[in-house]
Amino acid sequence: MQNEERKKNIKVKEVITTLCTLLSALDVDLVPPAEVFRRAKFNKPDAAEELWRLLCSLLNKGFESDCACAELRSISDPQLCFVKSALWHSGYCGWWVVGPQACESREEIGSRDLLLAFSWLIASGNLIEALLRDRLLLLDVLASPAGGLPEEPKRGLNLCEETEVRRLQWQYGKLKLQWRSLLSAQQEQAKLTDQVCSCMSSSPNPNTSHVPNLTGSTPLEKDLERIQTLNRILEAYLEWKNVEPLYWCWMDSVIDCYLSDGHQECSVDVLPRDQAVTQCRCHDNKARESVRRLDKMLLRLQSKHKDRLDRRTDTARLSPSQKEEVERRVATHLQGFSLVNTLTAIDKGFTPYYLESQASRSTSKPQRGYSGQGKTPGMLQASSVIKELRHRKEILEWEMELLRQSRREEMQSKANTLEGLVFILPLNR
Amino acid sequence: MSVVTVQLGQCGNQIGPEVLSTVYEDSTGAHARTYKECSYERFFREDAEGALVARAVLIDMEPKVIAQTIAKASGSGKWRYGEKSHFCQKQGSGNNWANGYYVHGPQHKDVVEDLVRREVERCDRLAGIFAMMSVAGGTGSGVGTYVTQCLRDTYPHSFILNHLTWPYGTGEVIVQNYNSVLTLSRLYTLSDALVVHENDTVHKICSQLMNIKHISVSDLNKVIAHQLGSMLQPAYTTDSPAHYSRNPIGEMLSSLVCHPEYKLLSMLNIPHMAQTSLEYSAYTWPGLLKHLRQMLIANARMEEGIDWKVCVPSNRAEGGRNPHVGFNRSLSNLLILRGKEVSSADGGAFKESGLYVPWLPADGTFHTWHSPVPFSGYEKLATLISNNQSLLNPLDNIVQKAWNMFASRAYIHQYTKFGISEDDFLESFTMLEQILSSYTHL
Repeated sequence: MQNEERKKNIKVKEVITTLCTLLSALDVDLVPPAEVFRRAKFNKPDAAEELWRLLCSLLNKGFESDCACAELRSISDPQLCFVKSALWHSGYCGWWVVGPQACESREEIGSRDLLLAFSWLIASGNLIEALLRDRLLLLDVLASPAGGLPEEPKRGLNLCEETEVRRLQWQYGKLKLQWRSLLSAQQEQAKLTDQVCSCMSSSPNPNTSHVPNLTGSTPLEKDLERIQTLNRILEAYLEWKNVEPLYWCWMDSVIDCYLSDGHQECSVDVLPRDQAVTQCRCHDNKARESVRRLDKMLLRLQSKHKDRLDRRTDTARLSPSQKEEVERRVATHLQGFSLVNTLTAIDKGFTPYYLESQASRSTSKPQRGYSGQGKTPGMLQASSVIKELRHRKEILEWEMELLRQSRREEMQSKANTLEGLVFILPLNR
Repeated sequence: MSVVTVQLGQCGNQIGPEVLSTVYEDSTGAHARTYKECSYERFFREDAEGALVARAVLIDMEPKVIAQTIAKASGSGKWRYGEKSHFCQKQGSGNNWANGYYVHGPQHKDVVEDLVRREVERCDRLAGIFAMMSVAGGTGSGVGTYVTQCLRDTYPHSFILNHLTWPYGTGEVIVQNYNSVLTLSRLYTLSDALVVHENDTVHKICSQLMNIKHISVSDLNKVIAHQLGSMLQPAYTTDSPAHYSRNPIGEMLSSLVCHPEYKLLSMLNIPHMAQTSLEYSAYTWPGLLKHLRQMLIANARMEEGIDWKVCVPSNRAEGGRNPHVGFNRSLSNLLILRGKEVSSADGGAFKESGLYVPWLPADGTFHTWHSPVPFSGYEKLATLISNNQSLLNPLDNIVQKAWNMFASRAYIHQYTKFGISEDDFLESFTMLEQILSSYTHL
């Protein structure tokens, strides 16, 4: 409860300061004071410059400008181009990044636009976490042995093969063991750091301490400094994670301001896709390629789906009266067909009563009997007619077989009575 | 970085001091300060007077062996056991696993846990818990299994390595196979890895390689201790090539037993010889490694009587379906080289992919550790810790014999009266059949 209470009392300024502290700890250059953010909310022009610099340094850290950027040198403002394409790459499509109004000069961009872009960067993906990871790998010696990304599986398709499962289990086991190793290393480090710190604090004069000459030991000092920096970063991150929801509440208010100002809303959706694509040439061909492939696939699927729908709804296009007419015609056709060909109650004499299905006894009889007058059109299904016809055919065949048998026997007995006549049965009828 | 040794039952309490003595003698004799310091830190702590105290806990249900062990260690004047680090009772477990596991274990749970916890807290870093026991008796197997279970609960993230001594096939105790089956099946889920020594194999080493006429238990224990020492002493590893590894057990496990179905480890040492012949021997690394490799693939437990005809199947698929006669397939191997000119030794022959199962990543199957310090007077010594099929036959024998007895319900009432059910037996059999099948189909 107290915690909740405390959270409520935190001012926006403190929240933003926490974010700024974290960014500075992550080695991002030119982090402005919290006041700049507040001014940017109201789109004050004087905040733009500082936010621009922050955005640039953040993007520079997150996105390594690759070779394709070299060709941008010919462009008047390569930094603007870099920022725009990096933002596009991270999925941000503000009016000044893509679209017909995409601006060519930095002055056109308001400080609020920059603030929105900055917040987008933090919210989308895991830029901060990536920066944190980089710093940790740099500072934490323990992080290095386990480092190195696991090798990419060579065959993605046959993952379900048993051997692949076993390989996966092995790798998973290895990871678990390595995690335990790291955990124990971390515990040892914590224990030793604690020992060193307590020794240092308990003995202001290192010469009287039983710890041998601590101040003279530069590697140890460096280590200590490193660990302290690491702790600072982690603490800043933790602090930020605690107040992060408040930041987003505040950002909601920024967006409200933005909308209430009636800013030109440029919907990127209406833009031809290719135009957006050509805007950014220099980032991650692979990702772009796969996105394009997905797009194509989606398009293909959509068109297929539409085709099918069309085919299916051909009948749906008929007007209700036409439809009725068609249905009626089909029904009468079926009716006539069934009346002519299916069994009547008398026909069924051969089939024992108990074999007759319950359903046909109770419901189908009256239908069959009276449907000829067209009282229940549409009730008669083509499938049931076919079924019935098949049944009828079977019975007829059976009857025929019986008749044939009895005729044969009759002929046989007759032939036997005639002396001197050898009767040879025909092989096939 | 330290290893806490837990000695369980008569066997554990006899092998334990041998291992610690071996380690102590080796480190003291070595003219390498960091090696010595690292080894001492691993297995000993210093008391107020600066004397070395073993980081060990002794547990038995009989007082005799523990008393002897403690007295012998203190008498040596080199190192000793902690004053309050042992626990014993007056009455043994009567070679009955169920008695140890269901009665003695739970009864003394708190005391034992407390003993181990005190040792663990004295470590800056717990590299692992090394529990030694036999699988045949009652206390080592039954109480040992129970203690391992408690340790797993208390230290879920620590490495627990069990050393198991398998009994002679001809039998020391009539119910040894029951005890073995019950112990192995439980430990397989609790422990991170089981390092196995078979008495039969060790006996052969004593008689044929060490030329001992009348082989005693102590001789067997010395050989086992020698092999374990060569595994546990400081070495440069893959993760720590410039310093002696601070995480030896963790590294060993993550290079050998990552898959939960395959946890049996066997050891091969080369050369083995009587202490007196050490001076007159001369070996080369290529020679030793060539023999060791053949011992591995032909499943020979000693450098004598190796079948040189066995070779690695050329075609993997073919080898899988129609296994070559006598070929011993490995899952993973760890080669530890100690002594002169280790840097010149080339373990490349162990990297051949045909030796291993096809589904493992090639870089995960073979690792080498080395140390320039000669071990225990051996100018050159190669130790191979291996996760392979070599234990299939002895394990199959144990299971077969136990099953035959179980089928005729022999001695079952002796077990069920302590609370174990026949279903528990069946479960253990199933577990071991599964292990056998897993290793068979490598």
